Amino acid sequence: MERLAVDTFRTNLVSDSGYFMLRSFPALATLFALFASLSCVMATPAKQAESDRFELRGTVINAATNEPVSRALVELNVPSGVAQLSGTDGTFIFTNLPRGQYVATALKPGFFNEEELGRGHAAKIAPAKIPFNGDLLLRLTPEGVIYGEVKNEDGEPIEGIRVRVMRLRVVEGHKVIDPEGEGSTDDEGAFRIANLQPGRYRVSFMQANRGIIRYVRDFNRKQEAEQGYASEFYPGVRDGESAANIEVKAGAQSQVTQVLKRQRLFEISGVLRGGDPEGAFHLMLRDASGDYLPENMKIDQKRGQFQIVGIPEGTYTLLARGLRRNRAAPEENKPMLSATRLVHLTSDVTGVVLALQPTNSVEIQVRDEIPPDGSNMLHQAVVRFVSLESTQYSPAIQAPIMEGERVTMAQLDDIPPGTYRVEATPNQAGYVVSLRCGRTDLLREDLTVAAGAALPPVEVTLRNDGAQLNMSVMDENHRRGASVVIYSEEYPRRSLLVQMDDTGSASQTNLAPGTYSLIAVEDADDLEFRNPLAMQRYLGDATEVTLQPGDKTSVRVKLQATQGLPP
Amino acid sequence: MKPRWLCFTLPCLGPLCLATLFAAATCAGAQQSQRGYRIAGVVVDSATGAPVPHATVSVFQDAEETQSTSGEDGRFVFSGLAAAKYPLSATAHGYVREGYQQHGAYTTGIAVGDGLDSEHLVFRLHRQAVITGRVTDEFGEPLRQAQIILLSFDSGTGSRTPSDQGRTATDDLGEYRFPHLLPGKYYVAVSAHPWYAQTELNSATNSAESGFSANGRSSKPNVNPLLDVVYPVTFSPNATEGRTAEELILVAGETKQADILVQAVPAVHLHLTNLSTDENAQINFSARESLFGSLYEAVNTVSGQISPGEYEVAGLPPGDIALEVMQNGSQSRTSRTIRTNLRGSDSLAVAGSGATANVTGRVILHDQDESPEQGQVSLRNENNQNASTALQQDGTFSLSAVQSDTYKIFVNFPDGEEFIEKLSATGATTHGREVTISGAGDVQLLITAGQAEGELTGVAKLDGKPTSGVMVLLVPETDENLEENSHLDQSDSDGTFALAEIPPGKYKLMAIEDGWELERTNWSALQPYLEKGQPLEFSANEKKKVVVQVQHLKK
Repeated sequence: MERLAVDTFRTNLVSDSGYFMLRSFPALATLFALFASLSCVMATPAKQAESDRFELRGTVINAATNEPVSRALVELNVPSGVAQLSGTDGTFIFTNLPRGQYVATALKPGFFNEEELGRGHAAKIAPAKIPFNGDLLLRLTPEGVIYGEVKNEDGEPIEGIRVRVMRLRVVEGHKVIDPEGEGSTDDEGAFRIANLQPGRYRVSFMQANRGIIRYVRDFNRKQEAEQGYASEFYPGVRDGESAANIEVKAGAQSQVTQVLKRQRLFEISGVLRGGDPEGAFHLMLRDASGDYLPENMKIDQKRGQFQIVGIPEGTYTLLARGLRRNRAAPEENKPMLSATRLVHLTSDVTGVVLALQPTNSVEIQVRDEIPPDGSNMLHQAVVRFVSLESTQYSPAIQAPIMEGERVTMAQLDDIPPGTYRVEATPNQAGYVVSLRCGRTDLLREDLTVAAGAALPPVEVTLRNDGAQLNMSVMDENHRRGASVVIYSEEYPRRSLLVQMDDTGSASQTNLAPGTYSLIAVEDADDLEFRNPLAMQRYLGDATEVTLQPGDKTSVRVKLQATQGLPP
Repeated sequence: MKPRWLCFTLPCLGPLCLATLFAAATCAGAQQSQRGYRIAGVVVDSATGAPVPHATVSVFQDAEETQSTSGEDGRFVFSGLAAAKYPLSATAHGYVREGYQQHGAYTTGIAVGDGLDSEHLVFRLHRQAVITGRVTDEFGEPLRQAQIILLSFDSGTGSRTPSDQGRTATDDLGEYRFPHLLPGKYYVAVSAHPWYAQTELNSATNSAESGFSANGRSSKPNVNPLLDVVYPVTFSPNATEGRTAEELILVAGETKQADILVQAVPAVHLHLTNLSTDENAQINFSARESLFGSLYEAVNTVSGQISPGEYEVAGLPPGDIALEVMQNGSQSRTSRTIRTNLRGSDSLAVAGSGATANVTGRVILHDQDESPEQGQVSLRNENNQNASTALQQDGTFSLSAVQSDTYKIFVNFPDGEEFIEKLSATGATTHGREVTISGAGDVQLLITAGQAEGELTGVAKLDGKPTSGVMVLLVPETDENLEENSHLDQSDSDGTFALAEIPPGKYKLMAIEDGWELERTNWSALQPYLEKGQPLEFSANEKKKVVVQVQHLKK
């Protein structure tokens, strides 16, 4: 009897909580990857006689409760596409199917299917091989909801507060915060944000009538002290780092009550110098948690005057970006000027003078130490500047630039002042030997870009004489979905996450020589594997390996339990 | 006055969209005042007269809003204001958000300056009415992210055209809420698409989507007919036609629940013939569904060509629809709106089979021999069937296959609609701005478009004193459509008013105290006031200033 992988998987794990949905699933992941790129190849039923037709039966179930899900749309990717709604008992039957392999997908508002839950790796989608004799189980994970109310100090509801929900997740070993949903309070102060995947969330509150920019010639100082609500995170804190991380479970509803206090609001006003009167500029205010808040401001483009009003007490970075017109080629306007200023706001701040300066450019130099192999391939690296103050800014360039058969120097333009994590990823098989900017070792340190100061070039050295590491997970019962972190204590930014295959093993080539700690985990989704603080607690049980250039080493790695995000 | 903020707040209740709209606005800043005038008063409950504490009161200078909160005694004050006229609005928990002495889109602006009393205002705030409800689909499950439309009929115009009072969306529980409503009669309707629907063409080969849900990945149609469904616009509790919709009559302070049950019905596939066979012609369709026979709601459709001149439009709801057919040829761009009642999948000849005429013509501007470089001319018959085309650079136009009927002519320029000063035709007869085409043959039109830039400002006075909050109405002297041709304002706190965009012609001006109760688009309702109306004649772009005597409302 042919049983589907997804089915077998269920019998293994269904006992240990409804959380199995989120576990990795390597065999299927591989298949899914194939589907994504070659769906037409996968779904090629052979030509056959009419009599050679089969049925596909299945059930859609709620992954949190294992109850059937009625009225879910089940789609089968046969060439012409067929779809039906599951019955009240969650079942579906497709008939008259030719031999072949198909992917069945279930969809329903308020639920996430395996593909929607797939996070970067291991989308867990099962192809059904026809003829198929079992009951195909399709799991839908119910959404989470964050709801609640916003009141003032007198307990009265506040209407029109913008409520934002941000999800904490880990991407490439670094913690990131992504906006996930938004709502607004009604006249009863109530809000409701649904359609949340299981995960950790922060909730923020701000006045809705913000972000009004007006271009004026006359500025009037406001007459009275302005009162309003400051932007806050739940539970009543001003910065994101102190915000509560709300754990939203599949199918769960989390209630949140926020009390906002009316407080004195201030203004920042001043003038921009060094701009182009015929160009344009814009201003942004970034709060201490790196969030750009929509502000109400007045701007006189010609004279460079600005006035930002309605800002609560706090520490902010005022950023100005200017456009210098290129008179020879007006279409080629580029934002080329910038200025920043740290402002501690405890009363109105007026008379701020911001001097616009040209933004930095940095040259990317690649030292290619990969021996020629006869092909004309250019060895390149993608160099990315990830702003540590703002998650919204991370320009990247591929260097060197290919231009016919010649190699052209790459330059990354318009880098505003700030602190950056610089990452380099080789395009071909190879590894980054070193990554420097002047005296800064970018494999370990962040790069600070100061206004107006020229930056030395970023130098990337590439080699391909790295070591090969063959890894297998020891624990046979759980190694199917495991991942291994190849962690470098010396250079945490070199650390890699490798997904194990169906047999619990995998191979990684071109590892930079050095000592690594190997950590196998079942669920690496939330593992900040490039953050030394987050990895510290796994090192005791890690398998250590030292690699020389050209080594081929095989290692068995012990499975450890994941411990979630560090505080 | 007709404050700008009303234009924003009425169609969208969410404060978020307010922010977006204001963000785009660019305005000149208000003057700095050294003297600092004040606007002050008390917010009271309109029914009991009791002060309303903690009310949010706003004054607007251009688009800039300044807020103040009323004290425990309901009193509020704004100081440091320059001499000018300011719109004022207020709201409080459990109350309507409304302008000062608001009637429809009009409020009394507060004039501040020397000799003007702007400090003894009594802002009568109405307790809100609320409509809430839950929308459920045919499986008894909540319908989420469905658009809920709130409608009412304007009593002042006695119009049978409902107006859109606001929109909101259902949440994950299928629930919606319209707070801050004035007492009155409302209807709620839901516009949604079944989340599971799969709309595909039966026969066409090249498809184009106008909406979501079309799964265009298949080359052969293989749609489960149970999934080729739509939701017609549905009024509470489950009516798909306006005449059977539930009337929601709300008094101040009342909350009514209006649940809606939607039922998916098979989508209509429309087979269209007699379209342009020009290979270079691009043909697009846009369908709208009728609400109360006049207001229209967009429908997401899928369309495609079957063969030259033959198209299919899928995803249509049964019932009254308006289907706009846009043909972009290499030379011209024409559009026709067909209004029809769909009962099931059907075939429709776009150009009709009866006698048709080719209409050509030219638009010239008033007092000039020039023609506008850009614009559009439309022919609209009594059934609101519409055919339109863009003007060529020399002001000429051409519309083929126009059916015999009487049409009203409309001319639009990029900056707005123009009024038709003169219309003459060969091959057809004209009356005013109407042309009657009978039988086949060529028709030539000469249209003179005039600008309607006349302006009237003035003061409404009762017993020699400027009077605020009265209805000021300018109506054409001749028997014309009042809804289209009258001009309206409400006098501000200093009795002043302003009317704009007045076409040349003879008019009567009236100022009526409490006139907002009148059915002002009905000639017989206005009859008692016309006699004392002030006759005025406007030439093109003329600006006039008058004093008008206020008449009392005659019961």
